[in-house]
Amino acid sequence: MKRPVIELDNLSVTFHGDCDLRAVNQVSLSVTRGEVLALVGETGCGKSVIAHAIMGLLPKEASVDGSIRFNDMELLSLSERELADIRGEKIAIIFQNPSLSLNPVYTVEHQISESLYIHRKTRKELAEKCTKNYVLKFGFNPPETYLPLYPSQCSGGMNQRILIAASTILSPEIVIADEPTKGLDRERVNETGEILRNLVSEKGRSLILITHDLEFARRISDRIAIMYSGEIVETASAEEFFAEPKHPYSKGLLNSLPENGFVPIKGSSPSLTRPPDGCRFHPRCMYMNEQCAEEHPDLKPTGNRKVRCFLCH
Amino acid sequence: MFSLSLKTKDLSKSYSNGFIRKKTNEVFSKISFEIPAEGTIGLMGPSGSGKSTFGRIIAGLEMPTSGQVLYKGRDIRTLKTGDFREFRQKVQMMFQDPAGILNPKKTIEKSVTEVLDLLNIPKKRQKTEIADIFDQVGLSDEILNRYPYQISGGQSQRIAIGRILLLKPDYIILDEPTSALDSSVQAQMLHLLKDIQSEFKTGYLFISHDESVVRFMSEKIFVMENGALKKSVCQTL
Repeated sequence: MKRPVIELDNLSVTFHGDCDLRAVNQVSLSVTRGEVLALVGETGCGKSVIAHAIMGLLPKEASVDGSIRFNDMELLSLSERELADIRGEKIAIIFQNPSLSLNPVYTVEHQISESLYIHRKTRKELAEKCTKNYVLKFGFNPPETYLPLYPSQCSGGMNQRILIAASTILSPEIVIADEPTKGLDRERVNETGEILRNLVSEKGRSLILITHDLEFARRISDRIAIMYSGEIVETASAEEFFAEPKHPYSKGLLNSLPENGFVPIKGSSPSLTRPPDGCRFHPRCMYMNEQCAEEHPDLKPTGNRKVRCFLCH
Repeated sequence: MFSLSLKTKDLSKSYSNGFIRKKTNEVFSKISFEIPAEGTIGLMGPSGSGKSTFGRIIAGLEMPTSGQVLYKGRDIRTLKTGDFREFRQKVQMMFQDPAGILNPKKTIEKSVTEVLDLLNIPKKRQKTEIADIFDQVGLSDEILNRYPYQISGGQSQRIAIGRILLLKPDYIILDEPTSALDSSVQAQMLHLLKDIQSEFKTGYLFISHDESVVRFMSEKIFVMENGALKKSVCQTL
């Protein structure tokens, strides 16, 4: 059995304010070397909060419980300075919305090579050479044409590729891609998928893909974790999951895809400040029974997968 | 009396840039077509092909370089103030970004009631009108006291469509209304738009780069590419 590169154990994140909001509730998952794990769920279910917790980028009003282990190192006990050394160098994140994530007043070259100067203290000539060679992989050929451009002079797809190049130039062991295809048209989505898949297969990196695009997750991931209302409700290999989803929410998600006729799930996601008692999905579930409204189900193994549903155990 | 219609005739749009040597970039040229009063026309095309610009011009939010937008047979550029106001009320546009359509400093109630204030609807009637529309779009009154950051993307889009319906429009230009939504919320929204159309008898121009969504919604599909409506595909549902 492969050793996990990163392992989350009972991770909970609570935001304190007028009323406490538990955005992530006891999430446990792991990613092995060379694996692509897709974290899928509706907006607001806690996917991006997990990514920010791994990177140590949560705001001060957030409290984190549980454990995040990266190669036997407990990330939650590291100081800000120690975390800064890991960010970008060992674990990188590709933020959503490239047009907002890139700095509009710096050139493409500056933004891609910046981490070489900061983390590796690379000399200017060498950094320029590395950047030119690296961007070739992303279709920027000849590099001299694209590197002097500013983000406003590039299309959405180009900015997405620039952001991926800037996040991965230091060859991090783990890349977290947060909604990398949001707002892109189908061609650009395919292009981004190919780039991410190449990043994993070339150097055996691991990828945590955060997305609500099930089609995209199906194409590039090895394993899928479905999140609902701050919890993981099902984890399975991508192949098994798409062949036969087990959790009623997973089934609903697949039914809402175009090929299944856009059948919606009734109702809407519950508020995270006051989640329903029992199973969090029970008010929207067509298979619910008395037990679902009273008891909270655990994420239990069922065959090769894990499901949080009384009806599947 | 003019009969209800919304057409474009030889509509062209180009932008010029450069200071000393002016260069003209043509977005599209000489497009003539009609949005039916009670159906959906789908408009597809890659990002940057000019779909949104075309929609904004039809909604009167941008001016064409040449050609006409004809509402009830009259060029919207020649309409008098009162008639143009009626046109702006009856031809509405729904935008892609659910977070950007509501004023972050105003509660949902304020954002919604200002539409009714513009129509001079008395305060007493406003509450019942909002309650009726919210019921139609599947929202509860509890959301009225919240701010935009306290609601989800799907709820924002429902509010946007509810606010549009308060104006009782004849046509709605839907510019990528579901592309920022999750698949399950997208499915809910598409069904809602179909229900609204059959209830309110509204004409839709549905703009999207997602072929499956456009096919689900539209009776007829046009594809915009390289500045022209290159091909139209008849769609039987």
